[in-house]
Amino acid sequence: MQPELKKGTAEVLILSLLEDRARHGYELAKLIEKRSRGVLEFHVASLYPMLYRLERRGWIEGRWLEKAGQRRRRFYKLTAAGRRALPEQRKSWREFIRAIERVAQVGNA
Amino acid sequence: MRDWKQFVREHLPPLRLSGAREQEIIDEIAQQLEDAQSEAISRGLTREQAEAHAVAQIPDWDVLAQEIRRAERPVAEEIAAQVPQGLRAAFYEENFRKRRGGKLFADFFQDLRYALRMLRKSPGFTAIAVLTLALGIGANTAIFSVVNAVLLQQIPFPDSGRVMILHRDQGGSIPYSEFRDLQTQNQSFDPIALWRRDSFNLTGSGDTERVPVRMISADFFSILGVQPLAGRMFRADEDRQGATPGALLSEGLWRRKFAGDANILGKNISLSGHDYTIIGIMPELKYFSKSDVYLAIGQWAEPSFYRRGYGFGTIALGRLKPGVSLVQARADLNRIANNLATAYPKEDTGLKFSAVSLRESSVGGLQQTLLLLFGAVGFVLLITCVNVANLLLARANSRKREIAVRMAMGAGRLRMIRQLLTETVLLATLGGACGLLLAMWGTRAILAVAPEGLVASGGAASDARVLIFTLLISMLTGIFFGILPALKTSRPDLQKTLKEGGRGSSGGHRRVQSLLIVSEVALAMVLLVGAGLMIRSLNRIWAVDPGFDPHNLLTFSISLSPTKATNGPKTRAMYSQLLNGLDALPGVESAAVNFGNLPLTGDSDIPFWREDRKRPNSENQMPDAMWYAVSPEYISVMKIPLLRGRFFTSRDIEAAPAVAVIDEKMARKLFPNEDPLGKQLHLTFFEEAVQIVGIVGDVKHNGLAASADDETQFQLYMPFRQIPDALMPILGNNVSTVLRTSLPPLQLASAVRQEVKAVDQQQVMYGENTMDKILEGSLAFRRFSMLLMEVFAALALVLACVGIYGVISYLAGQRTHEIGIRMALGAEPRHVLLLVLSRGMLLQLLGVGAGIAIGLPLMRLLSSMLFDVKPTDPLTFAGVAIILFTVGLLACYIPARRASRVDPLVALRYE
Repeated sequence: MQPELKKGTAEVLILSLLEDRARHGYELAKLIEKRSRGVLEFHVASLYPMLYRLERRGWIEGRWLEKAGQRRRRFYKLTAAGRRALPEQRKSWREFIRAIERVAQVGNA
Repeated sequence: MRDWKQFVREHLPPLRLSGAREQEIIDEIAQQLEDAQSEAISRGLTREQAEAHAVAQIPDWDVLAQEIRRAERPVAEEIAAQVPQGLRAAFYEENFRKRRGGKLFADFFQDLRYALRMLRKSPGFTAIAVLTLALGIGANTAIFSVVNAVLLQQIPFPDSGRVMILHRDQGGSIPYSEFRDLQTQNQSFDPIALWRRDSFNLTGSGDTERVPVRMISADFFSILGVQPLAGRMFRADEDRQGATPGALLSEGLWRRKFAGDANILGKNISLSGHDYTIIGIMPELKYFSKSDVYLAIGQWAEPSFYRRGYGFGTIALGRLKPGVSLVQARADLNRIANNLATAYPKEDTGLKFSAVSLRESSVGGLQQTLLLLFGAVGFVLLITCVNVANLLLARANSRKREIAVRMAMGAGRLRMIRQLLTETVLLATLGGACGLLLAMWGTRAILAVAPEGLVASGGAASDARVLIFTLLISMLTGIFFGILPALKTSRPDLQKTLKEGGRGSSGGHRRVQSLLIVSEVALAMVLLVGAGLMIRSLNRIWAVDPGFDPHNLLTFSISLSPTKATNGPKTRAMYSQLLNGLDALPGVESAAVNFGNLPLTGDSDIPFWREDRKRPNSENQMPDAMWYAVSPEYISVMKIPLLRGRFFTSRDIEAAPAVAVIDEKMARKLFPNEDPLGKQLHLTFFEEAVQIVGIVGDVKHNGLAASADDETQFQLYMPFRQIPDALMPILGNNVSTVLRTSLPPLQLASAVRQEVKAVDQQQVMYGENTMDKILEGSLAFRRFSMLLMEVFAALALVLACVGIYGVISYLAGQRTHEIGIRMALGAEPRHVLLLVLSRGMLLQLLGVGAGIAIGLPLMRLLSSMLFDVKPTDPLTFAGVAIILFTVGLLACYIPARRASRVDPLVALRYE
C-alpha cells in the first residue's frame, strides 16, 4: 500500500500546486518537499515520470517558456480536464485517508 | 559549470521515444540538475560539493529511464500492461481500431495485417490449411482451364454464333444435288457452302506424301470471314465441272513443302495424278480439322458424287441471315426437305435436314463429360472446405480468449466475423495461389492423358478468365468454409471464457464438427461411387467380345498410284500383287484388304433390298448394312468366326457369280424363319444381285460400348474383286489393309512401307496403327473421364480421412480428463478404445447413409457414361461403403489407441 499511497499523494499534491498557476519541475519538487514538511521527499527519479504520466493522461500540459533573465524551463499548468479531475481526486483521496484512519482506529481500539 | 545536458545524455539509457521528445526530457532533467547545483552553490557549498549534490538527485538512471518509459506509454498501454502476454495483440488491435474510428477501407487493411500476423503465429495450421485448399482449388482450376478452352473459348470467326452446321438427319451427309437445291431454295442462310474432307497423294518435290484435303464450295471461307494471306479464293464460276483446276494451299504446307516461295501463285501442284494451279495461300484454319490443300468441290470429277441421294461425307455450312432465328431456319429446312421429297420421291422420301451451331457441333459430345467432371471436382472442393472449416473450429477454441478480450473492449460481433472472414479469405487466397501452381502442372497432366478429340477442341487455356475463376472460387471458398466457424467463434460466452482460460470445447462446437465429418464422408462417398461405377463400366466394356481378335494386328491405309490404277482390272491386279508381297514378308502371317472401313474407323453403309421382295420406293426406306469389300483372307486375319456356309475364295473373282456373306444378326433379323443361304440381295451401288453364301459372327463395328446401335446394324461382306469397274478406282484411292503378325505389329511398319514402295514408287502407305490401339482409342474418352474421377475420388478419400483423423483426435484430446477419470475408476484401455472408436464409427455410418441418399439420385446424371451397370448398382454402393468405412476406421483407430494409452495421473494433473 505504501507506494500506492505515495503515488496518490504526490499526484494530488502536484495537481493542487498547479491549481493557481503554472510551475516548472524544480519548483514543484521544492514545494512538495516544503508542504509535506519533508515527509515526502521527491527524487527527480519519481517526479518527472509522474509529470509525464499526468501529461499523458491529459490533466497537465507542459510548455517551454523563457522568462526574462532566466534559463528556458518547462512550465506545467493544469488543463481543463485536470481541473475537472482535481475535486474527484481530492475526494477519493480523502475517502482513502479516512478509511485508513478508521482501520487504524479499529486497530487501536 | 558542467555541461549537464551532456551528462544526462551519457547517463540516461535510451528511452526509445521520438527524437524530439527524448531531447525534451533530457533538457528538462539537465535543467533540474543545473538548478540543484546552482542552489547548492548559493547555499555556500563548494563547486565540487554542489556538483555531487546535483548528481545525487538521481540515484539510479536505469530506474528513471524505466519509469519515464512507462509514463510515456499511451494510457491504453498502461491497461494493456495488465493484459496477459498472449492476448496483447488482440488488445492493441481493438484499442487501435477504436481510437482511429472505423473506416471501411483502412479497416480492411488493418484486418488483413492482423490476419497475416495470426497466420504467421500458427505456421503448422496455416501450412496444412493452405495445402488442403491448394489441392481443392488447384484441381478445380485445372478442370476449369479445360472447360474454359473447350466450352467457353471464343470461336475464332466473326459473329460465329450465326454460323450453322447442316447435316442430313443427325450427322449424315448432304448430297451435292440436295445442297444445290438448298442453295437456291433456302431463305434463311446467306451464303451457304458445302465441304468434304479427303486426302490425296502430293507428288513432285520430295517424297510422295498423303496430304489432308478439304473440298469446299466457293463461299466456304467467306462464311467464316477468313481471308487469304496471298492470292484469292475460289470464284463461283470456278466451283463447277470443266473449270480450270485450282488449289488453295495452307500456310503450313506452303512453308514446309515450298519453303514459303513468294512466287508460288500460278505454279502447279500434283495431287493424286492431277495438276492444279495454285491460286491462293490460306491461313491455318482454326477450329476445323487440319487441311493442307483446298479444292473446289464443284470440280470433282467423280460422277456418282452428283447423283441425287448420294452423300460423300459432305457437310454444309451456312450463315444465318440477319433477323432469322435458328428455329425459323429449321422450319425453312423442313419445308425444303418436304418439297424435295415430293419432287424426287425415289431418292428423297423421308429426307430431313438438321442445323446446329458451330460450337454445339464441335463440343456437343464433350460438354456433358466436362460438366460432369467439373461437378465432381466441385465436390472435392466442398470436402476441402469442410476440412478447413474443421481445422478452424478446432483452432477457434484456442482463440476464444483472444476474441473475448476484443469483444470486451467493445468490438461488435459483426466486426469479429469480418475479421475472422478476412483471415479465412486470406487463407483461401494463399491456397488459391498455390493451387494455381498445382493447376498448371495438373493441366499438363490432364492434357497428357486427354483423348485427341479433347485436345483438338481446344485442350486447355490458361488466360485471364482462369485467373479470375481461381480468384473468385478462392474468395468464395474462404467465405464458405469460414462463415460457420466465424459465427461459432464470435459468440463466446465472455465471462465463462475469460474465467475458464479458454479450455474445453463447448457442446456446440462438437456438434458442428460432427456434422462436418458426416457431410465430408457423404461427399467422399458420392465421388467414390461415381468413380466406382465408371470403373465397373469400363471393366464391363473390356469384357465385351469385339467379334474379332484385335491383338497382333497391324492396320494401315494404301493409296495406289492414280496414274496407274486408272481402271477396275488394273486396280484389282495391283492389290493382288500387293497382298502377295505382304504375305511373303517375314513375320507376316497373312494380310487382307478392306475397301470399306475397318471396325471402329468409320462407316460405310449401303442400302439394300431383298431380291424376293418389292423394291422400296426410295433409298431412305431401305435397310442399311455396314459394307465390307474384302480379300478372302479377311476373316482369318481378323479371326472372325465363320458360322455357316463358306467365306470367299480365290475363285470369287469379277467374272464369277456375285456373292456375299452376312453376319449372324442380319441372318437372324432379316430371315427370321428362313435359311439365308442362297438368298439374293440387291445393293444400291451395284447392277447385279449378290447371293448369300455364308454367315459369320457379328463384329462390334462401332466400338465395344455401342450396344444400342448394334441391334439394328447389319454387316455384309463381299469379295473386293467383285466391286464394279466404275467404282474400283475411287474406292481404290483409300483402302484399309490389315495384317496379322507374330511380332509386335508396329515393328513391321518399315518393312511393309518398303514393300509398298517396291510395288510402285507412287504408292502411298499411311495411318499405320495397331488394332489394339484403335480399340483403346475408341474408349479414350471413357478412360479419361474414369481416370479423372479416380483421381478426384482418391483425393476425396484422403481428405476425408485426414478430416476424420483430425476431428477424432481433437475430440479424444478434449476428453483426456474424462478418460483419465474413467481409467482411474478402473476402465480398461480397450473400453476407452471402443469409446473413441464408437464415436468415429457412428459419424461415418451417418456419413455413408447420407452419401447413399445423395448419391442415388445424383448417379442418374452419370447414366449416359455407364455401360451395363445401373447408376444404382448395389454392389458398387456396398463396396464403396465398405472401403470408406474401413479406411475411416483406420483414421479413427490411431487417435483412439492414443487415448487408450492415456496415463490417468497425467490426464488428471493436466486439469
